Amino acid sequence: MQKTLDTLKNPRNIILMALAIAINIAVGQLVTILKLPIYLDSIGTVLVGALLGPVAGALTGTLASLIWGLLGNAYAAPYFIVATVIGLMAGVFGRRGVFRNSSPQWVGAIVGGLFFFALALFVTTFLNIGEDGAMPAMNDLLAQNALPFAGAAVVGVVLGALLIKNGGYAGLAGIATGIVAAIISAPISAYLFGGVSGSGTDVLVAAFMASGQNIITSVFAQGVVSDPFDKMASYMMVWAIINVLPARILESFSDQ
Amino acid sequence: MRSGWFDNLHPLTKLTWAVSLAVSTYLIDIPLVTMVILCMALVTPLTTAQPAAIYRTLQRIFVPIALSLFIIQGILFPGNAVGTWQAYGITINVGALQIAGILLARIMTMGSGLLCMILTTPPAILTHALAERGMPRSIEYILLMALQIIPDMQARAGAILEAQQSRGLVIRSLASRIRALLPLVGPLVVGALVDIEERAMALELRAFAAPHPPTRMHTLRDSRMQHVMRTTMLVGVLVVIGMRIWGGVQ
Amino acid sequence: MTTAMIHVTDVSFTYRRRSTPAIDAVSFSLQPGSVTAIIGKAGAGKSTLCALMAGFMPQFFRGDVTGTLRIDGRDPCSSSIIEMLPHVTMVTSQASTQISGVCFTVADEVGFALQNLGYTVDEITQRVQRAMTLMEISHLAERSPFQLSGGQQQRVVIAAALALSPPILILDEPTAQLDPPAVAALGETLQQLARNGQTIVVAEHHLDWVGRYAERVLVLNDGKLHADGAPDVILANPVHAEGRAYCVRYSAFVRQHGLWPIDAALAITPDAICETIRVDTPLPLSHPRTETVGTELMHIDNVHFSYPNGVTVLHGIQLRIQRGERIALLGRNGAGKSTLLRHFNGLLRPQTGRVVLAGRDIHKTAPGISARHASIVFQDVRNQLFAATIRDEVSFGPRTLGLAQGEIDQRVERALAMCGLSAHADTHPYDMPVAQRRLVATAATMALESDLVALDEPTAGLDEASITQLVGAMRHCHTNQRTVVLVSHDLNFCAAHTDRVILIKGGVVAIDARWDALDAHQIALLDSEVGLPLGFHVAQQRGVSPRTPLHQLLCDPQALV
Repeated sequence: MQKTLDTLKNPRNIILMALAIAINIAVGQLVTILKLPIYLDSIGTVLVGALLGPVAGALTGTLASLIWGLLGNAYAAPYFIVATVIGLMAGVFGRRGVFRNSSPQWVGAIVGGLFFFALALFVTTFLNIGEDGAMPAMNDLLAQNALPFAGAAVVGVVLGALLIKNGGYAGLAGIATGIVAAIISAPISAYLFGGVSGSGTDVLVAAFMASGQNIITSVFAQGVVSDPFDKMASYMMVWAIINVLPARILESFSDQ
Repeated sequence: MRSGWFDNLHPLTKLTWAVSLAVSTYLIDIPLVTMVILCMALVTPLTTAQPAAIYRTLQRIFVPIALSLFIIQGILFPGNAVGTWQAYGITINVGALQIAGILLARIMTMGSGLLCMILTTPPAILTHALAERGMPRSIEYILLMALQIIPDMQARAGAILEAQQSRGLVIRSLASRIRALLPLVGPLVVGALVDIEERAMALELRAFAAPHPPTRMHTLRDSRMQHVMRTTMLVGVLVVIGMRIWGGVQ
Repeated sequence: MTTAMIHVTDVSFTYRRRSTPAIDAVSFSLQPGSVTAIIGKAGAGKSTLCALMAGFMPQFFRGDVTGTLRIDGRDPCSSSIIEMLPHVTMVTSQASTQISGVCFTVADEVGFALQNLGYTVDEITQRVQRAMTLMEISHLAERSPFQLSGGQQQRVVIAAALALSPPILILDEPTAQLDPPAVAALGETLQQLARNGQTIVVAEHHLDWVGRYAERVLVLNDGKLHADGAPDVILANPVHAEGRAYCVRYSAFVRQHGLWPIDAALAITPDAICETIRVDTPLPLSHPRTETVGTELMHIDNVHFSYPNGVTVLHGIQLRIQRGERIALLGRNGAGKSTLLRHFNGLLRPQTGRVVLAGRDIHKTAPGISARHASIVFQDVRNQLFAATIRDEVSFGPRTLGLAQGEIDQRVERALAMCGLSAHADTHPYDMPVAQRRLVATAATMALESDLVALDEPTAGLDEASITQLVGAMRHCHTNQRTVVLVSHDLNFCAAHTDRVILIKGGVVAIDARWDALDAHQIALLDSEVGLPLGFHVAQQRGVSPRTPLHQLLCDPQALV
């Protein structure tokens, strides 16, 4: 607690947190201009976690949701728990050095391959769950869809090597954060909003529902398809930025 | 601009009202009550200075949500087959539609209450009220600073787009747009971090770190009546929660 | 005999983890009621000295201080910044970053420090009103500080400092982000404050401004006090000053051509030049500007443009630009020059009319592709820089062209050399002094080797050495038949380094002529819109008719180089 108060006494940290919230919103807008299928709207929160540690990261996430609310986005407010956890996890990963250390390129390739493979497996499993809710046998799935799975893995390896490059550790941490985010936001979304957000991702929810799932699993499935990818991109962006920061600036924020 | 009755309430009174509406609509499972609470929430904007603006905002948010909700819940929902209705090859689940209707009422109740609070309360007044109730001053500063820097940061995002394109950044294909991310997000974040030193110096020069509480230029208007209203609402919410946990209201 | 407000004796300061001191055995003392300027090239220690006097060392900026400092009788190094506030306060160069962000009105912002210090509401109201009256911003009291111009924001920041009524006010490069009217107004205000008894210290690159408003000049060089004296002594001596003020250059030039009394000293203000110059002397031959003959590069035909909010900014712009031209694009704030500039490479598309660049309609091309023919360096370099080394930053542009690695390397090396950055290629752009970051952004754009390069306020906040580098880069473009367009408030720089002047007024081209072909009517129009370069001002004041040999000599670009 004392340390939290100390963090909040340093004007540099206060300004960083305020700017980070504004960065979340401005980057969200940039991505919209670029018409990319991701949000990156927690990039500032992740940045604070990476530079100032878990407590400051969590606080930034909470306050960022509050600001979304104050800007008239009343429906963003209940998701503050998700934003808080993202900041917290970024801080924990930050202490382990995922944002400051570069991985060998093959780690990036493996992360990409695994990610795509898991994604393909997840989606097909989901679409093949029987009406009675029985899980399909993993062996059958793999055997029936061997080609698509191999394809997904290869695409993942190539993309991983090209895009993730040396940010493999950050990418991996981002994927983990994304999965946790999906797990937490699914019940909020399903219980409070019936699984809809009034935006493009509703199409995904609808697709999963059409395959015979109930609301909460469909929302969770939608989250698992989009969140890890988004958080991986955010984490890697923060990793890339921290690695180009002048040492002087990096030193002026100390987590410890 | 005429000033509304609701506008002039203490921020915490408005906040308590919004939260009470939201909590009770989600916790009470009696359709009639849900509708009554919805009516209360939808009447609230009438007591503000600018009901039209609030209703417009509500409408802008709700139409897409309502559409998604009825499609997803009404057409695609598998269970709850109370009755179905078929037309043009689409099966509509009547029972599920009822559920969707209740959900929509709840979402609108929560939205209307919060929007009335947000749109009638200047942020500085709200944070002032929270600071008086013990929120640390630094959190108040973070919130206010973030709110005011957002337009500036958005303008910078636009300026970065222009600056980078003017030195060769091409934004066309999907691949080029992905590649453009770092040159666009990088300067935004790095530039902000570089500014922090000068901004921190400015805060130090404004005695930001002074040990005692600051002088407030305005006092918030509160009244005995509002105090009673807040207490009543809080008790009401506690009762609803209690009934939900121990009572039979399902 | 008044006692010194600032007393610095043998003071040195070394930043933590640095071996060489940023301030090295400096001694001086300043009396109340004066404006003192600290000059010196980028990285000479001016900002460090300012921060040191304001009490930022050693808590905010870590390091070792030796020697004795007395600021209004207190030692800033053993006091906190809050303890020093009643004695000294400081304003840094970027007004926008000094708005606290916590206050929603100007009045609140001005009183923010007083609120934090726990003054009573009445006392705050009084002091805020006094400070706002002093800075002439009372009419802005209820506006948001974020919706003001740079000049107004700076007045708010200074008012916020004055509300504490400290006897000492320090300003670090206050003119860097301001346009000429705001720069002049700032000078008048500071002199007024000094007359009221305040001690004003200003660190500045803008030597003509220093000559006009300071009473005393300290020159820093590598952290040492290099010279200390009256502005006319210091500024007229190129050994002392980091470079030469335009007024000093100008009087030296006219003296060389026999228009200056032999025994008269060089002047440091335009008024002194107008007074001293002799315009009756028989004339030596003047050398005319070089005429450019190039092929057409850009054709802007009847371009109209309105913003979505309905404001029409361009009302039918008609322009032809040749290869190898050097053009000054001038106009008041809001006249439409930034909007026009954004039509050069398609950042904005004309709503009617067309822009043809290198034979292609920009309508059909992405801005990033058009930039290969017409690139722009915008004023705020923070919007460009994002790489870890200057070399990486500069290679970003060439990489987008899809060139072979060898060609990319060559272009990068050329651009680095052009801007004098070859020795710093592996340095981080943000580890360079602020003034030189502009050169990094310029080099990064120059590396595209586009047919036209437009520079938006390229000299703002630059020190003399950086300006010299910039001039070198522009000359390189010129000799390679590449067009240079300057959008700038720095008229002397424009007059010295361009041949053609384009004035935008009310969304149309009001003047489009060579500098030496301007007639009396055009000169009067230029004067009323943006002011005049020094030579034109002197000629106008002394009643010399345009397009005469004497006028040619007075307005010779060489006079300002």
